[in-house]
Amino acid sequence: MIQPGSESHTPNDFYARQVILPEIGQQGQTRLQQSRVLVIGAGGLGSPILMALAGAGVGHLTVVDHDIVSASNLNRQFLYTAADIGQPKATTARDRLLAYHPDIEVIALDQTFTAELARHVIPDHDLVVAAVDNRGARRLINRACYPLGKPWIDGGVRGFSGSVAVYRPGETSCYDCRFDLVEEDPMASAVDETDANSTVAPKTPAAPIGALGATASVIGSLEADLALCLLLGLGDPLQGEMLYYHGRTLDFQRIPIAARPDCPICGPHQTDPVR
Amino acid sequence: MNVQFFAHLIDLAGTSSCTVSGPADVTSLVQHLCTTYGAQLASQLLDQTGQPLHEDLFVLVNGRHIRQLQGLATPLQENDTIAFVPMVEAG
Repeated sequence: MIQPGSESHTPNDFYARQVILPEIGQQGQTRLQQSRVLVIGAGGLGSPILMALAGAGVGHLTVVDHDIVSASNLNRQFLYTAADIGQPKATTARDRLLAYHPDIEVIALDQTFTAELARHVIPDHDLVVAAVDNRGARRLINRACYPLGKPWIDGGVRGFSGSVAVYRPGETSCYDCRFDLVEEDPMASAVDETDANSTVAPKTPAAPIGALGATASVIGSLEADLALCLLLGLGDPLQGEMLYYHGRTLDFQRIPIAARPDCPICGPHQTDPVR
Repeated sequence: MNVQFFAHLIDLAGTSSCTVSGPADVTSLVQHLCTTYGAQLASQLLDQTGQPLHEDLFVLVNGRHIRQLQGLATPLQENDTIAFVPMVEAG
């Protein structure tokens, strides 16, 4: 029994409104409870992703973020309050999620996502959801997930705009292939996939990019929706296409991008660049 | 040819798509768009030296990266669809 306040509740009480959905039911809820999701980044995108996945009853969440909460985060990172400023994001996120949903398991890793960490944690999860802020991190996640056959979901924001994508090994083109980064120097993306200790943090801090809580919430919620579709076996709504959102026109645009047949990561002759 | 803009390029162009006639290749099309839509869009299509393309932009012709075709020299036909897609990377 969980006893918030003066009332007693069972875990099933938390999910009563979604178990009645025909797409979920008790079987789907059990599936969510048995799922393990790695969320990389607990900022503007990570906040709605984590809240939605915890709210849906995903049984195990691992949160990775090396950063601490700062005042400039609070316009969009709704997991945190002013009282959290200066505290590590991953641990604070874990505590907040468990306060809402004490029946799930949340592991907090207050550290940078490196190639070595990728090798250790990704195999133990069903799905990776990226909520990162740089290309190097995405390339690292991509190059770790594809050889392991782990699907991953990406999102990004810029001002009123954002995009989401699903990458499924064996089914869709990969990130490097889709953005045609295969020939680019990995160091240009601020990460060396051959170095186990290489970090995903940009080597030269870029100028801040404008970000809105509303837009980050839309994109993070879309990532969470895609995650739930995959975890519940409802299929991939994007089917290899990119989805762009524009908050000033409320346009959603889908765009198919042809895969590279010779991609070393997702093509038939893929190698294992992370190992 | 049909030209599509994505994400913040929509704000800078003032539209999500337009029809263009004339440019024979991608370089010519980029120059045409910079002239038509002005400096703000040009700043997102061109690199720091004023040459195409901006490093955070990729261009698709009928869904294929121009790097997989003939790059900026990729010839264009009147019935082509050209997408200007910026990488949206903040989190």
